[in-house]
Amino acid sequence: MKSVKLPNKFNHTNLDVLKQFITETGKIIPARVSGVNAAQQRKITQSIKVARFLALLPYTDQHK
Amino acid sequence: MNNYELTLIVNQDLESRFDIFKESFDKSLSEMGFDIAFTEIIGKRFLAYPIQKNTKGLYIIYQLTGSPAAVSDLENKLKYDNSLLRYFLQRVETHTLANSFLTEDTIEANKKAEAKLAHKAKQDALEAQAKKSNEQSEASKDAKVTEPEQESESIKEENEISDKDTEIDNSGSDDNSETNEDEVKE
Repeated sequence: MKSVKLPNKFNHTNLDVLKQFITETGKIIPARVSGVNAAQQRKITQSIKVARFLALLPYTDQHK
Repeated sequence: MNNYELTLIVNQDLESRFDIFKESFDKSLSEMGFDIAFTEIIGKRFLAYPIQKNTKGLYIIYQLTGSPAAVSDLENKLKYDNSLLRYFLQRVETHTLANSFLTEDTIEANKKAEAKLAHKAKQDALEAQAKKSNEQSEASKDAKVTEPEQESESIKEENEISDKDTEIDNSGSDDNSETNEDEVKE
């Protein structure tokens, strides 16, 4: 299991934080793999989804 | 009164008129009854995926305070604004009155892009030099290419003559004529 750095405060703009929690293909890494707690995981997924909407993170690696 | 965070992705075609766009947008925000607590102008960023065939966008983040009634007005305006690729309006507990990670990230990315461009310009200059020398050699090649066509025609004529003379070696001479035609086409 890789060690992850999670600050107390973050939102969808903290791409350096969020990129730790997506795979190469753009999928969100499950909490059982990353080892973060449930509350943290809820915040991470929400932030990643917002960042995707704003084209800051990819949905997939197959965007045209 | 609530606190809101508004993120806009503006079409990159507006880059030259960005200041004018921002001024008019600020005006319309204050007309709707919003107080602007902080604006973060991030600037041009590469989009993670193309939106309406745009690969880049101009990002701005507004920290606003206003009434919920004003929000519906604002959303109506944003919905029909053609200069925006995306907008994201979010209610927040407290404003963040400092630049986010995105500004820093964008500045770094732009620096890298500039370095790349400079590197490319150098390579282009080198390629241009190489091309010049190539063109000279190609010009001499072209002259060579025209010569064999004439030769093949003469060979063809010879073959036809030989066909008339000796009808026994038909197959061999046919192959020859076909290859000759290919050469002519080229």
